[in-house]
Amino acid sequence: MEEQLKNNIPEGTEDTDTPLDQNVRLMSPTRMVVRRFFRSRLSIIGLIMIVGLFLFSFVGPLIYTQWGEIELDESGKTEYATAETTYTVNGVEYTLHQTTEKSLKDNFLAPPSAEHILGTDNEGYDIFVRLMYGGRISLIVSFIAVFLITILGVFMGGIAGFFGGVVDNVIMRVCDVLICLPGIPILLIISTILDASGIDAKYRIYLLMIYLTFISWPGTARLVRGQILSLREQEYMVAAEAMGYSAPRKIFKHLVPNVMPQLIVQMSLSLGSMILYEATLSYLNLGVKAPYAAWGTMINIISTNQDILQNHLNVWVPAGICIVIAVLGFNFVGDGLRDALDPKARR
Amino acid sequence: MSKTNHLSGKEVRAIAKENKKIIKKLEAYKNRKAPESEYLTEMKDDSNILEIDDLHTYFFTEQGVVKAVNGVSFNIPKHATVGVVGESGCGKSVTSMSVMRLIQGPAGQIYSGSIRFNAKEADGTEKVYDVAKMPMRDIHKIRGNQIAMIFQEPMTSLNPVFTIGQQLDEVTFINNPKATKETAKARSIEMLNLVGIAIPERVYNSFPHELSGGMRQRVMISMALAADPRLIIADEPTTALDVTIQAQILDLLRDLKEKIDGSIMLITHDLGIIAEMADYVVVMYAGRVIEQGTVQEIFHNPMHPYTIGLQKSKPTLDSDSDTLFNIPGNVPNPINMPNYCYFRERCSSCTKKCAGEYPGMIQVSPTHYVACHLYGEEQNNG
Amino acid sequence: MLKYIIKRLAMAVLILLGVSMIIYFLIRLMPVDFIQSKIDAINQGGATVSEETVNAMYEMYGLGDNSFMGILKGYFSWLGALATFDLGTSFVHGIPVADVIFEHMGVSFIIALIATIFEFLIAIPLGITAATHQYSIRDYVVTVLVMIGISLPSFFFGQVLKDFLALKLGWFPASGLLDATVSQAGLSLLLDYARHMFIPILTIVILSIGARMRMTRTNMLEVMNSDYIRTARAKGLKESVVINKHAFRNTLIPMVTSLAGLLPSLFSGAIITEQVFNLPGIGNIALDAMNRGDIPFIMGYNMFLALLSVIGVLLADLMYGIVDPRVKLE
Repeated sequence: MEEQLKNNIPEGTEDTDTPLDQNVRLMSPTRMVVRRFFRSRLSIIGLIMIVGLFLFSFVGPLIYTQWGEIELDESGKTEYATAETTYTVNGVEYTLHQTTEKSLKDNFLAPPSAEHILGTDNEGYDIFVRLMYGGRISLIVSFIAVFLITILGVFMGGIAGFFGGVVDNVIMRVCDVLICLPGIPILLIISTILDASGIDAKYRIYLLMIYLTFISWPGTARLVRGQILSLREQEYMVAAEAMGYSAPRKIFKHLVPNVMPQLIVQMSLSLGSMILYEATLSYLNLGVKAPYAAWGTMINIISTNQDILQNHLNVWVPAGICIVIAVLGFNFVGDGLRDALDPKARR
Repeated sequence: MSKTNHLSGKEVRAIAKENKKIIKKLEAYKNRKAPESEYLTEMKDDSNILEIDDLHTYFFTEQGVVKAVNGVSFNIPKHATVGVVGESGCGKSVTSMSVMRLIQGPAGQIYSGSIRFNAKEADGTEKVYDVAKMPMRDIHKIRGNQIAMIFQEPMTSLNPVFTIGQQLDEVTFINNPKATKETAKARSIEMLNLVGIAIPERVYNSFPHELSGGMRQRVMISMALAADPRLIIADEPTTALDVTIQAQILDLLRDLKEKIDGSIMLITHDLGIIAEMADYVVVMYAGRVIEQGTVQEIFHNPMHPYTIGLQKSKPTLDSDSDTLFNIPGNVPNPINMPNYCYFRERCSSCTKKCAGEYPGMIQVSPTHYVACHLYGEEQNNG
Repeated sequence: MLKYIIKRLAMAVLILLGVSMIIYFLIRLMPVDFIQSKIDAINQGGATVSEETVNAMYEMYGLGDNSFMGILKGYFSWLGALATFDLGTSFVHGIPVADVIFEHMGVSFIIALIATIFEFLIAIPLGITAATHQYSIRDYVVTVLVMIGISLPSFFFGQVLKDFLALKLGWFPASGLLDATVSQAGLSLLLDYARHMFIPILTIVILSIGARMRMTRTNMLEVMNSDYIRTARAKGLKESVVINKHAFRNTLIPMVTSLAGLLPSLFSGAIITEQVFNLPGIGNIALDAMNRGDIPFIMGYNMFLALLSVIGVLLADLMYGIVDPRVKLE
């Protein structure tokens, strides 16, 4: 067996003129990251999922223009009801055929067809098109939230980690408080406040997500602070100090690049959880409200309508699948990035 | 071969594919079930306890195959101490881990070669195992009770959640199924006494974090002794310790050498320790043995330029120069090693011959071998 | 040790003060006429909110006085009531908020407890096999399961299970906690509870198992690569003993710690799952109360949740000191 194996091993090159060290060719750091990322099939699948969803949500409505987000299918249908009544007058039997024509304005709960790829919902909106617009909302809202969380978290964590002492203490206690705040119940209160102030249904989800930003930054802040604290102990920081670099220069030149990998991983993972949050809020009818579309809102109907839950799977299942694809995609990519950027985390 | 100093994507993929294939084969070989007869063998020389023969231990990394141990051969005679010296990264630790079969898979694998070990069974008969061919499921036959190991990092080598007593008793329980709690404890206390721990009862009940580094290393040594092994591998046992503690631990090891009926394989980069402790010396460089002999031969008549350099770089009080001698350069990264003397570029006495193939082992005396082109014609015997 | 606990308790009180400030501030953002309209809606919905309850609430929160001092006074009067565990009277239920919470806490706790037990029982062995067979098929499967588990939205997955197992196959009841049509006692009662709780528990277990498996796997990998595992192997221990004794005992530390931290939150109720299966747990009750503008209940429930998470953090810290011999709580 060993003999057989020996032949497989690439033997050292016979080039005797180049010095030893130049015989060693390593991977460039970028290639190492790319390679580690694509080594896992899951990260490729995740990437495909996310790119697919982006195209579907942002390019889709430009191509598939048959229906709009809040465009009702008013083609309706005409229902005919026939009733037969039998009279007996003087022994003679008369049968009266009565046909009533009932014309419904909206074509609701239509089954999937060429006209409506996934059918229509209980209002008469095209489900396929609403999936696209729902995707837009979900993706935009979560990207904004994650972006804000990261900025706020890096800022606060950076200040806490760099200045230490009282500043650090205060910021960390604020973090403790925010982490102990209940998530959804507080969002319910805020939603009620938004109801009271009569904000347009279109914008309330953005306001809710801003609140979510406000309570979600401690995670990032702790990460950044922890990194800074441990990096401050490293020799090269002492060296930087000895060279007399100024404080901001120290942070940005030396510390931030070291925090970056973990930050990127955290961002991609929290994109997934923000999408879940947004969907849950919409499902609870707190986020995007009718007539606007969101994946969560599209599922909301089944909590009150048993008929749709059981018999019209095309109304709610596609939205659920979209949510799963989005969250799974970001989680796969996040995990792949973790492997690629921070190999220690896996081993 | 491309001009850049980085691997191309195509090459990286080819390496990964190749690695996967080889690792799969080697892992299957490691995890196989095999009858004992498959790995029973004969010693070449019955006075040896361990014979390492053309051992290759490779690490299959995504950058290429790292040949950490590349054809190492040496013997450990019965009741002798063999010192293995070399710079960090020369493969001396990997050699010892290979003997214990502790190489971390799947990347690290014993690729070929044999490690013949003369084991003494409980009934007193001797059996020779080829450790390199043993399946992992049978490896407990030699670990601990036949070959024990003392590691470099006493601070992290003890399990933090068990008391010293629990970890020591365990060794007795593995090797003596008839042991009771009381006999195991008695044995552990005896071992702690043996390694010079003043209050063994208290240490017995302590957790590792309650002890100092030196104390922990003593515990590690007592743990290695508890099963009465035939061979003790000490992998840089004093490197992580303070200088004063180092001396104590070395004294202890030397004392024990007298008391126990076994051999020691001492791995270190410190020539001073070797001079004090060892009977035989093996000098390694970049995954190969470059010189071996008795301690007198190596110290009084070093032949390989690297060994000479090593000795020169040892600080002495009576030297006139106020700078330390150093060997220029570093140990080369053992990926894609070419087939010529690895030390060529750092060597001060390099000749034309050195451009040729990797030098073979040349026998200088019955016990002294060197792998260098400076010395005569190549002879057989490895 | 005692000093440490006292210090931590003081910190916990401080955190609770912070939380209470935020919650009070949020309530004060609500216009008073909006609250009144909500009360009217509740009144029309069948329940009667007595004038007394409303007045008591106004007084307790100091609503109406919007000057800075007024808000401050209101906050402290509410805080004073909180300190005596007086959370006010629920509009919807007509009884003290604390009583409502206590009444419905049990159901949530039992469901969460059973789910957590199963979660740990399933996730830990799976996480350990994934770690000890790193990069194998097993590891791959576990990783994918983990990902799917943490990616499923609870409301969607709960509804799918409900539709499939309860409505399509009819194996389990779709909602509620008890069959209302038959009166039962003893074992059959217990069985009926079990039948009703099956799908909700299944939902929670599947959703939470992923994160737990990942945690176990990461931990186990870290432990398996440590020096003391190498020592254990070098002693001649069989691999199974190395894993199940030396490595497992070490992975247990973060597990037990997180379990301790989890305990209080078992009382908090799973809002979404309880809503999907229409269970009378505290989460579902809270959701309903909040939708109907039951201000005293909302505030009380939020403080209750904050208290639970503060206790959780405290318990986890103390537990860490107990299970890890290296940690001395100072």
